[in-house]
Amino acid sequence: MNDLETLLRKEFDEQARSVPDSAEPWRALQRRLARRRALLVGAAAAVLLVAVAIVVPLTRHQTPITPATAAPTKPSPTTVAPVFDHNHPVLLAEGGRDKAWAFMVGDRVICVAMTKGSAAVDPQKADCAPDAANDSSGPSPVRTRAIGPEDGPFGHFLLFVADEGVHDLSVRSGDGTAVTLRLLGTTRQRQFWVADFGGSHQGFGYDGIDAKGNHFSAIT
Amino acid sequence: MQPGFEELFHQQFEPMKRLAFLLGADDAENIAQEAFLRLHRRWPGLREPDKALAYLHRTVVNLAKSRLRHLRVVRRAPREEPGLADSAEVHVLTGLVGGSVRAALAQLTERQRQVLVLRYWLGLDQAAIGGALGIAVGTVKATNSQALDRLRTLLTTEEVR
Repeated sequence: MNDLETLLRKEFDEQARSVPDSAEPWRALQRRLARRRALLVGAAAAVLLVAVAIVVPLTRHQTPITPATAAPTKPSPTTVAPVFDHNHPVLLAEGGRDKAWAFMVGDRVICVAMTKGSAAVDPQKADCAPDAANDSSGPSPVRTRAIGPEDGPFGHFLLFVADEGVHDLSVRSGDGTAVTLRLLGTTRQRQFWVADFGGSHQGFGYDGIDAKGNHFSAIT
Repeated sequence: MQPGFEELFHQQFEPMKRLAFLLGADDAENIAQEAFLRLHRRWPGLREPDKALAYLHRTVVNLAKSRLRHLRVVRRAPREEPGLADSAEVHVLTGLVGGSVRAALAQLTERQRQVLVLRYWLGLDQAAIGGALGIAVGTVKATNSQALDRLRTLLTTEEVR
């Protein structure tokens, strides 16, 4: 080992020794765990409420895009969004008269569409792109999609598409603040989450556990 | 509490807190607590000591990085948090506390400092450092070498003065 390496070890040791020991860190962790459990219970209740709040209006008021061919929609209060095609788009976000929707074409292509007022989703005007789920070349267990242009009404939202089996997904904004995720629905292969950054999502990051139990994280 | 977790906590809490401090975080205790909170959630899949420790290292590095990024944003609006002038990060990164080695370390890039702390304080090998930082072993080697060269240059200049 050379002198510089010895010097570095000594310097880091000195700096580390200057940090005082914590008083009862184990108890502090116990308190945090208890708080986290209480939050999780609250969050589960909130997710259930949101799910009901989304599903009930959708199933009641949705206008089929092609009335001649669309099958009648049956209410399904126990699932968030079991059907996810252009006849059954899921509301991503709403602001004033503007609404953003997501739906799938087949089992690979994900579309995002905008509407105004009570207008129905027009699949021809939707922004559609293939998704890499279950594709061996897929770069990540989570993909993100912008919802319209960044300066548009939903520029501060991002759609997160996660592979089936992904869990503990958490998102933070560029300044490190945690961003709340809302589960929109799940299909056989994917989970759809929406994140409202409340501002620019530049430099956002996320992490979670994939279906094989491996931790993944990314910072953009 | 899950078996083995408490033991690991008592062994590793203070080292993880000091790691966060050396990486420049001003809330090292909070970062160490948050890292163990996350580990607790994932404990069933990380029972093996090596895996759990690697997870802790990675989490502390990422949390410290997020904290530094947050501090940089806050510093653009200093009125929001005037207490930052005394933060640990200021001491570690700007070398105001004194010492030419510390001052030289403050002039390295964030990645170079991370590699040096993990190598020379925590004593990790290159593969483990790569795992903690999410970079290739080759990048670890190169970064380590560049950081030492830069330090040598900075310290030599300091000595000449």
